[in-house]
Amino acid sequence: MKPEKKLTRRQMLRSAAQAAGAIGAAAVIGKLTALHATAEPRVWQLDPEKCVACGLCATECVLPTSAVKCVHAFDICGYCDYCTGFLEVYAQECNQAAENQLCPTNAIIRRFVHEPYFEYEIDVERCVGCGKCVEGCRAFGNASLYLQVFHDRCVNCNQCRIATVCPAMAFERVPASQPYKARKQYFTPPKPADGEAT
Amino acid sequence: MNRAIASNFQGFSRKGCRLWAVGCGRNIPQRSIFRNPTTRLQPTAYSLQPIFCVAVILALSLVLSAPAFAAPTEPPTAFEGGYVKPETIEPAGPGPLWPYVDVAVMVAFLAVGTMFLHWMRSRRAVWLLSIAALAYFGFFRHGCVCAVGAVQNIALTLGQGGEAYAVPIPVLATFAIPLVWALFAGRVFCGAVCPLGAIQDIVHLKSFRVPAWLDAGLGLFAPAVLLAAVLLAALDAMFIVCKFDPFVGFFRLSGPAAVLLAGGAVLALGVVVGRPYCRWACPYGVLLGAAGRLSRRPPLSISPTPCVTCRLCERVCPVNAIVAPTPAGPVDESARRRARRAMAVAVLSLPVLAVVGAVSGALAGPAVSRVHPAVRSAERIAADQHAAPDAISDETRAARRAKTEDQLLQRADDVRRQFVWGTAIAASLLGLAAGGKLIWLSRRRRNELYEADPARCVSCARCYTACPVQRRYEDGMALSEAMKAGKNEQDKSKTGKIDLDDRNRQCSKRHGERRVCDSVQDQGKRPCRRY
Ligand code: SF4
Ligand code: SF4
Ligand code: SF4
Ligand code: SF4
Ligand code: SF4
Repeated sequence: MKPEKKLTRRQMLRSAAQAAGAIGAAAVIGKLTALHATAEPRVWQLDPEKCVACGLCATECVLPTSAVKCVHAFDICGYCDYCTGFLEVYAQECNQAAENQLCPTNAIIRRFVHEPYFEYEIDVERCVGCGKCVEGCRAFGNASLYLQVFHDRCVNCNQCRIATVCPAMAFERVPASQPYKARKQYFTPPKPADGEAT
Repeated sequence: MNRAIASNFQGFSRKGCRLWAVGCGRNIPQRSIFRNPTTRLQPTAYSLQPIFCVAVILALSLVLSAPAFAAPTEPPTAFEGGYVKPETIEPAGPGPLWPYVDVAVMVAFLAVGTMFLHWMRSRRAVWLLSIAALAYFGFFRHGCVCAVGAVQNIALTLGQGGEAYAVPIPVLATFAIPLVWALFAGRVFCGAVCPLGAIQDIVHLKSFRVPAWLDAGLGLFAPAVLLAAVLLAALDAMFIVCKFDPFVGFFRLSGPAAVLLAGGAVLALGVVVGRPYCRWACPYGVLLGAAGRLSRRPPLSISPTPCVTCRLCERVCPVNAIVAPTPAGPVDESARRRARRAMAVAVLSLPVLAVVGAVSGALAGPAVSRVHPAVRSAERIAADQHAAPDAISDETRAARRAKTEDQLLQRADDVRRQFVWGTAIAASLLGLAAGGKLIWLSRRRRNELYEADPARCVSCARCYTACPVQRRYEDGMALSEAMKAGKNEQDKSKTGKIDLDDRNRQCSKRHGERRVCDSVQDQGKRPCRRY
């Protein structure tokens, strides 16, 4: 008689655990579906308004060459001759010579349009996403150069490695249907704050 | 000195004094000589530059009116000569359909794997399937999102209320389907789908048996990883399972050196110890194991017909998942008393472990909260309060620029408080898990044959290859015959005519350490097999 009783107790425990598990799982799944029945896949993107071009995007991505690269919003570019995103700070001449360029990989192509305008185009293959030009343009220009995760390269890690170290907390999971955060406004009004001007 | 002045204005002289460029470019009138194409290429004009810069900076440093620098240029709207502004580049991603394709492929692999495992009972087929899974989910799809990491997506959604992040349906499916599957067919996911498991399985050559106590102790690390992963994801700090994923770097063929090295070390260990990551670190394995435990049936029957208790399978199982039969006959009284005492100790230790966990968790909370980027930033901001402008951290620079300093400090306080609670709860749950494990280990087991533990078996099908009954079946013997032969052996061993240990010892002596004879009747006639 005894072993049978034991077996029953065991079965009861098991059934109780099963029921508890089922109820818990149903609760979680119910809550999740209630929250977001239509959730679409997400991808990583960085917010150029938050980014301070710290340089980590170039080094922290899991890919050998970062999936983060510079984008040029031609619509808000001033087409300046003296492009502070293009020229090295100590540049002695305003031309494409390597020693005058800010970009470490010569990824910015400067083209004369007509007086006094110059077009600056980013060679995506060369850009490594270091953000030097971004900060140059943002500090003294129109902020038309900014960094973005390029989705033809990004492998969409479940946890973007750059996001874990970004000092500006600029990375977000955005809906896959709107995977870019373009800069639309050419003029970023200066926001003076203690110790820093914008 | 100029550097210092520059930083007064801009605070990023760490990256070089760009004011030189400003002074020389942006701050001068638009139609200056520097913008004149005729003078642009004349060196004399440039030789004036440094002097000009110094003058500008000195003048401005007297005024110290910082924002005066930013002077954007109105973007031109019309160009001569038919120039059209190029489009801004925004390359399209692989498309939102892929996650659904992955879920469909996963279900197909689960179905085929179940068939290979439970109907065909073929190790070779399961092995080939796991290689296909490694190729598809690992090397082709680069591993993400996987079921192992998906628990964090769910924790993040639940923890943050779904506004900032909502778990996409394919990710939810990736998480839930293998768990439901495990309720009915065991951890088929581990053996047939998971690329992390497959990569460890194919490098595994010989099982070095880890002592049971060490196995159980290390096994506590996995629930700790699960709890930490859920906590850190729910509080929106970081997905640690993904950041420290040891193998995903191999799938992408790139990654930080430290992580690749760690992955290589785990793989090297995996050559002699079966699936170290799956057994001792995988957070999803904990959930799959729990689902397996809840199922009514054992995950697989090792022998196709009644087991002959030859214990050959026990030796080949890479993850110590095969449970030996309990001795038949009445249990002697002293052993029973000892078992009762062990159980009493285990039950009493449960609340103690939970309380110890809660207290130590609460104490560790503030330290753990540093994983959260907001807390990290807030600490830097606090440290930079009186720092020179050219020495401030990027975190402070970002917060000052966005004017979110106060907000961040406030948020960090909230996050710290959440972490005190969160780590306390997580650590007390870990204490409960440890206590539960003790109770589980000291319960009275009753099984007559060699059985696969549904919580630990990873569905690799290796035990089939070792089972002599199965082998006859494979050799073409009719199932009924195989069954009869099996019965025969079982009866013999039960009546004590055959000492199984002795038989294995003899075989090892005759054929070398790594061989065992696969059946009693055939001993000596048929080649014995490697394990
Ligand atoms: S890590 Fe963040 S702040 Fe640094 S460059 Fe990338 S997005 Fe910008
Ligand atoms: S400076 Fe850096 S971010 Fe800008 S184009 Fe060159 S490599 Fe890309
Ligand atoms: S998600 Fe991965 S591949 Fe994409 S940018 Fe981040 S680290 Fe690079
Ligand atoms: S990073 Fe690793 S654990 Fe995370 S989802 Fe990708 S494969 Fe899974
Ligand atoms: S299938 Fe057999 S050998 Fe493989 S893990 Fe399960 S019990 Fe062990």
